[in-house]
Amino acid sequence: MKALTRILIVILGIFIGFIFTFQYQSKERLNALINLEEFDKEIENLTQLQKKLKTEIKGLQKEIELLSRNIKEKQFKNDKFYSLFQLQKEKAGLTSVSGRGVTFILKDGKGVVHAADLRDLINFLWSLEADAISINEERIVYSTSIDCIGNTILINGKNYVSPFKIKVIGNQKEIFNTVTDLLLLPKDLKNRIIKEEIVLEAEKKEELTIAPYSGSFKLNYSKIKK
Amino acid sequence: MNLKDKILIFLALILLGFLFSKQFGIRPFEYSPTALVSKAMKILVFSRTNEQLKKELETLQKKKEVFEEAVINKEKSKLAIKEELDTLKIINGKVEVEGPGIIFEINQDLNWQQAIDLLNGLKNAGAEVISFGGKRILINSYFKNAGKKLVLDNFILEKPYQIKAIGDKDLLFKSLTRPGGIFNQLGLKDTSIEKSDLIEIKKREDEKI
Repeated sequence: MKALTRILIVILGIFIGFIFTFQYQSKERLNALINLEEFDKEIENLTQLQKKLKTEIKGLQKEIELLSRNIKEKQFKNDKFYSLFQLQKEKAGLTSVSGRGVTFILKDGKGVVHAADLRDLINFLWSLEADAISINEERIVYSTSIDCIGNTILINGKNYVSPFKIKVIGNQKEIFNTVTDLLLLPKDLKNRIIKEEIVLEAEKKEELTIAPYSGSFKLNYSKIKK
Repeated sequence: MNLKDKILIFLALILLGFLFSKQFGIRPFEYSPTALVSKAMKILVFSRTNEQLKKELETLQKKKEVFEEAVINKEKSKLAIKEELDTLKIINGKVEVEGPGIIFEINQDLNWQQAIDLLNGLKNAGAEVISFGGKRILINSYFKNAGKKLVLDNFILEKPYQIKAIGDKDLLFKSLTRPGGIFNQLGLKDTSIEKSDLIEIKKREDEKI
């Protein structure tokens, strides 16, 4: 074997040894990868469970709605007591609402949409006397809080990411004109839109349907004062 | 170089290639602690949400059972509906309510954003019924400013702002007062707060909803 070839094999051997060592030192990192894979599996399992739970909840709500109609038909036809119950359900956001309105898309621009942007916009929409509002099909109800958790936004206890589709039923002309006129928007929202940190798109809708709140109200501490 | 040497080098290169691919085939960003934390956070959020959904499912299952009985029994159905109606009247601000909770005062100027963030924080901590400056908070309540004055649903509020919240009084108290809690986050310094076993919150007299 020529000397040059021998030297080449020696260098190669050293290099392979180096790679072996490097590979061995990466064990910790490989463990991290294994953990990440486990994390991914867990996230997938939890996502599937969440889908299943949501489907079951929707199914139960439909069954309860049918039972409720059945009760109304059999026992409370033209009953004032039942009408009052229906009215209070409507006011609390527990029934579907349809009518003229506006849809807004609020999405990430050069920056990301914050929970505070959504809170400010919802507050502004209520001030314009909106009748019903939803964000990504989550009905805004009395107990709704909008919070930032990690890189997602929690609405009614469920996590969402940009883009956010906001449906509003109410005075279409006033809501559309006021929100799209940047001069009238709340200052922080206006500034973020002007700086292109976030993007707000609006569209008038002649027939808009907002789904009822998919959760249920359970009061553990409050009682009607006798 | 004879054939044996060539085979030797060839095998060494194959081994080298294999090690290279194993070493560098791993996506480096997956190792970052940020990715790990982000995934852990996702698991936490998903787990919490799923727990809430399970509770919701349980409540609905019980409700379904009550309704199923109610279909064949008018008295039971009236009772079930009355229970629901009472809850709805509380939520819609139609009745005076009592229960344990917290009562606090803020004796400094507040802007509308601080007010909605405060309200959001209370809801997040599970407040069931809230009044702000003597006015019951409703589904469609909103804040705005008129000069330095804080306005709630077109009612001008005066300092000190008194806020009452019915719910888990310890949880509500901690969520407001702990370091990094709602008071800290909103820069509220001139405050006084107390827990109470019995808070009364009046109904809304106007027909906002």
